[in-house]
Amino acid sequence: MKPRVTRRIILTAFIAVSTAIPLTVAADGTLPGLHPPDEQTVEKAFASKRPYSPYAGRNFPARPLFGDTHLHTSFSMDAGAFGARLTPQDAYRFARGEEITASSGQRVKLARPLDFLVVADHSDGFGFFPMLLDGNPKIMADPQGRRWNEMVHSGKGPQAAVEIIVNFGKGTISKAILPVPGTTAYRDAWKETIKAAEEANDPGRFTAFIGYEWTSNTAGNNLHRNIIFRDDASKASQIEPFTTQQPLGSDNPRDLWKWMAAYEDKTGGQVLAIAHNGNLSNGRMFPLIESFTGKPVDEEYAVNRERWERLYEATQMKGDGEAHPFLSPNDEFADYETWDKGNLDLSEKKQQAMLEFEYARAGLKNGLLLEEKLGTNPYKFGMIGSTDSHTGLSTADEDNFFGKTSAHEPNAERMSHPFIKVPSGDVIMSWEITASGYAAVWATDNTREAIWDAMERRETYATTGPRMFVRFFGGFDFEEKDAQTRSPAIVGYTKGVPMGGDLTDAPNGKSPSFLVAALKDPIGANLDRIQIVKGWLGKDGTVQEKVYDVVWSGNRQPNAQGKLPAVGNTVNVQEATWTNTIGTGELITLWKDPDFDPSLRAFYYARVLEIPTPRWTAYDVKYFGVKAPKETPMTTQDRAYTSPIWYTPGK
Amino acid sequence: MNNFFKEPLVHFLLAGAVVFAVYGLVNDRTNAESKEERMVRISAGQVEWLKQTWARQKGRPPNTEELQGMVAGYLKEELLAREARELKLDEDDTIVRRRLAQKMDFMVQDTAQLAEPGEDELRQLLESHSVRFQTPARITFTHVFFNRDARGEKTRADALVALEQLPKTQTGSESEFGDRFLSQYDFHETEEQAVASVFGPEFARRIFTVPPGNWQGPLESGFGLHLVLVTKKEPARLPDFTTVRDDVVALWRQQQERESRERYFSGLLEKYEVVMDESVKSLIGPIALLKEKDQ
Repeated sequence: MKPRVTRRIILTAFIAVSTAIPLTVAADGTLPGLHPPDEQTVEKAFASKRPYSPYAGRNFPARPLFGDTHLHTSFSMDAGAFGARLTPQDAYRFARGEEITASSGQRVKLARPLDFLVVADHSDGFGFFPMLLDGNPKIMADPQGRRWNEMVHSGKGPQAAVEIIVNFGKGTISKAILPVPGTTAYRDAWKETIKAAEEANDPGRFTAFIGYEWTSNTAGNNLHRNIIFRDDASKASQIEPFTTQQPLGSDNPRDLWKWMAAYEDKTGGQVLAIAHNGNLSNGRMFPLIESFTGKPVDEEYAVNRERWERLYEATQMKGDGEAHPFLSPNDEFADYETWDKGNLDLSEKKQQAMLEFEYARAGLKNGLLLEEKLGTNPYKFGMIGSTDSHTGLSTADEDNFFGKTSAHEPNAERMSHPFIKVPSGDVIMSWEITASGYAAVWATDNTREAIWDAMERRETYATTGPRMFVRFFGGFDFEEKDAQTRSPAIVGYTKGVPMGGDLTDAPNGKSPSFLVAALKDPIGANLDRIQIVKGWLGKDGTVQEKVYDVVWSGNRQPNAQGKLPAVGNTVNVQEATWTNTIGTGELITLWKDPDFDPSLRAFYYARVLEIPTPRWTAYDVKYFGVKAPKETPMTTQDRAYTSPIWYTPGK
Repeated sequence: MNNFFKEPLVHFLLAGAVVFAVYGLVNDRTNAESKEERMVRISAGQVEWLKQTWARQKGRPPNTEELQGMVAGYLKEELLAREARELKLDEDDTIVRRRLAQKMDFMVQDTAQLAEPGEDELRQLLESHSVRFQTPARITFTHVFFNRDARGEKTRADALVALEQLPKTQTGSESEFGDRFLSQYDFHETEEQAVASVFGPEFARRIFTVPPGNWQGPLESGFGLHLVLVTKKEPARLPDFTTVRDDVVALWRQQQERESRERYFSGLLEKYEVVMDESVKSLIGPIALLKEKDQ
């Protein structure tokens, strides 16, 4: 394997060099072979005004780019079966801000365009649905295929979809009808996907990535990953996606990593993988014991996972995956859009013991444990959110939510239908679907290369929909006044590392401090508070966590137990409105870890909470004039999770 | 002898002979034709194709037994298909009809790809589709922010006082006026969409109407009020022909394809007479219905 070069911002060096030169001259006043320059000359040479833009000459990102790394179109067989008719081309047009007609026939447009999009259709059965719809001869020759074709054409698409998904999960889709790499149907669908991305990609304005989803789902346990190419068609079209079905594919992530390495070797390109929905993996997403072998995670696993999986999709429509209330009983905000009834098809119930291996925070913690043991942290991932929408429409706004599948595009009944229901009686209702999320990326430019590189260095954060602006820097040299400067980001980059970065070798007696700032979505709700979540590996070898409220709106005072009172609630559920009369537009602070031990591994990430706003279900009730099932939540507190900054003790 | 030819029996026999001879001739030909029709050929090429399909799916070539099975399967499929056609099972079948139409459609599409555009034609096309190809307008500006959360009701008055005092050369990032803004102060040749992502769409629309040269405002955003100094505005402009030539060619091809399809359908409509029930007539427009949607 080729060594992978992680681009680092070398600002510190830049600043050091540019200030050191004039200082040397001023100190002894002479230069070899030259007479000492007078002060004016020196000023002219060095003190010339910096460029108009304070960002010019400083190669750091000025604004976050918002996008979706996980969107399905009709090319995904389940999406097609649920009624999606939009193609990758349509998906990119919509993401760029065009008004289009959704599969359900309704007109739809985003409030604001996205900056980037990855159409990530399932690699297994790529293009299956267009074939099924068209009644391709191969499909019609197979009893299963014929049955589904007839179901879809007789208005039983959703039932067909469920059957297809369940059969896919069990690996019982007839081999004769599943398009596999190497066949014309498969190759055509992949070419079409690449072509759509190439046409929509508009460097500087809108980035359309080539990508796909590798959907490892054995026995309904979700180990899905999205694969994102840094490259264009010339490289991506040299290969066909990796699938999970034997003999060409595999459901083991280790084989995916081999495929990724082979792609890079063959084409000289670059590719990364983002896993999602650990909450539906039933204890398999962040394992200590590998489910495939029953053996403890080893060094090879750790090295490869860390290399290929730099980000995790911590929030999306099938539930939020940051934290779970059982794992974080002291975190009052941990129970957010929780899906914990079972695995993806509810074929196996959830056991509490599984949770530790499913949620991002717990994964980050166990990563420290494994790093201590193996020398590499396999779960050293940054955070993003994405939709996983199966409609071709990347919608995560509460008031413009087009649902998880085309059957869930706005209609009066959509809240009251079961999303998944199994004979045992377990059910996930459609009102439980979450209007979430987007990926925020601190890229220097809106291009495939710049965004991909920012993902690779984990300079990203997840939002559950709103486009709040979040900065997070860690370092040992910050001072109180740094949070008061006019451009905190410049201080952040020059004196510390941004989100996704590393701190090590704490100077004697110094604790790390964190410069954290958030600005509300320019057309969204005010902010409630910023929290910093710390996880660490204790002296006794057990992993620990603590959530700190670090800055909040108004004059609230924490009580004796340290609990900050709630921000309040202005939501009028009936009218589906709220006001920005509580909370605040911006929050910034410098927070120093009060409990730092330089000998212990730790990570820190920021969580930013908005004030309560109407949940998508409230907008539905208001618009359709219907009643929601009584347990349906009507408000939400949207939020952002930054990538962590890790502290590793020096050798 | 004459009488012999007048005998009805002879007439009958002669007629019979003629009929028999003609029948023999005709029947011979029919036999030959039907033999040809009933022939099912399996060529070495077809077997090769079967082998390759197998190899692609299984990752190895078939062994002899597997190959025999495949060839037998292919033969059975062909026999069934022939018999189905003879029984006219292909008629009134949506899938067969759709597949045939699709094949025809691909042929039409392929023939449209052949032509090459002339330079003049492309330049004209660029001109007539300028909006599609133009670079959006860009703006260079700086702003000073007045935080409504911090200043409350005084926000506007504070901004207006500062407006009188702000030096013309100052940028928002170094100004002593106003409040800190966590996002950017200075925007260099920025498009409306990027401005909108920081301040919201309404602010972005408005700033493009602000005259350049001196401090203006205040403009409202979701955060508070902003005094703005626009220093440069570039209108939307048409890019160089050479830089967008490939995109224009793509558009030209799209149009060619559409036109050739329209021509083809016009031809088909002349070739076939479309007969409709009275109730259907209102449902079908003339050729308009057969035209592709303008992309």
